[in-house]
Amino acid sequence: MTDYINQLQLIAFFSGYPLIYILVNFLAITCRKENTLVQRRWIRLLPVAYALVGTLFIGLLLKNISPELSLKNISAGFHSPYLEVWGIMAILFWVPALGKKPVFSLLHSLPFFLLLIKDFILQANSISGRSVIENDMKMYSLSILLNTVSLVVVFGLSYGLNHFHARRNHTAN
Amino acid sequence: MKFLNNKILLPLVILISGYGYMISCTHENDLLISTGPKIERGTLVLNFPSDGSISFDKTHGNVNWETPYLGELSVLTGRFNNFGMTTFNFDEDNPANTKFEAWVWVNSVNTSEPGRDGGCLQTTFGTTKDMTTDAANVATIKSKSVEKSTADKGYIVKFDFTFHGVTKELTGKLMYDGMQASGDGATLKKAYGFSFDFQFLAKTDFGIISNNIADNITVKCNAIFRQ
Repeated sequence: MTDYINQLQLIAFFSGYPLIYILVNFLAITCRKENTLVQRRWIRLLPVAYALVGTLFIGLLLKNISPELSLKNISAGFHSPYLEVWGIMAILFWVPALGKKPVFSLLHSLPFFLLLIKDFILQANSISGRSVIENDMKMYSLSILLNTVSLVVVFGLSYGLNHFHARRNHTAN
Repeated sequence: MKFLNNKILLPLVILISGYGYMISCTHENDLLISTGPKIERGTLVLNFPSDGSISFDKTHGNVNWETPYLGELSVLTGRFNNFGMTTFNFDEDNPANTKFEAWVWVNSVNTSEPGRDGGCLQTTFGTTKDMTTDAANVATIKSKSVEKSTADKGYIVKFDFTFHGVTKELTGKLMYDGMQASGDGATLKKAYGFSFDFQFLAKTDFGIISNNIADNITVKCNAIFRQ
């Protein structure tokens, strides 16, 4: 049961990212003639938003492990260790070198999207399985919302910072 | 990487997501709505006394009552020694055809305490020991409507209860307890068991004055018919 809960947590954080990534890129290509600077910024900020989601995921893991941050508690809290470690690695996208290639963030999020597909294939033929898929889709919807909000927040912060620097430079001149 | 082309990925991801939403929104939970247990009733039809082969076995029947002593303590119980069935028409699968009328002699009350049974109870009931079919001495039940219970194999009965000079409509539960057969061929004998339970407010609705009992009286009747 705890494995399933962990799986739901991973789906809730990361499975919505591929859709957001693809939508942003699709819109950037479709609206090519309009403000390309803005579009490039959205695409450039995708890995940063993904890293923010990864950071929030680490926050959740720490919350589950606390109050005693012992090795025993940490290992007991990891029920799907490989996937959770893979999820934690999302914070690497804070590193500018990795962030330069947004497609890496898409590739990183695909295993979590594949968790959904796995359940679609294995659980679709039973009534209890459909309850599993129902839970998955609720978490997937949550993930889409979380990743969208994360992207908007990151974009807003980036825009705000750039605007602040531009005004500062203007004032200095 | 060609497979990461947006023109392929976007419809693919949307299709997969849409499929997931479709499966999860099948409303199969509606199947879990229960309309109650599946109740199967037989087809027994009994008509007493119109069917001459049916007889009321008073010896193995009883009419019992109980009420908390002093209104709230342990249960005080009693029975009526003299009771009978005027009519009993029972249709197991069609309760609209079920009707019955029965009576007890109130002064035949039996609580195993002769002093009480022949004394204060007679006074409480407004009867005397030598009454018989006097109106004051006969309590009757007469069914008005019968419906199948949705919770079990029983029947919900609305009936007129006449007691202590008052007639009031009450609701009770009728159960067909089953049939036992003995012998075969010409010697085949069948016994059918029925029970009927109801409650009434003796003080509030029927004017009984007594500090020794509660207002609520529970009555349990058991009847055997033989064929």
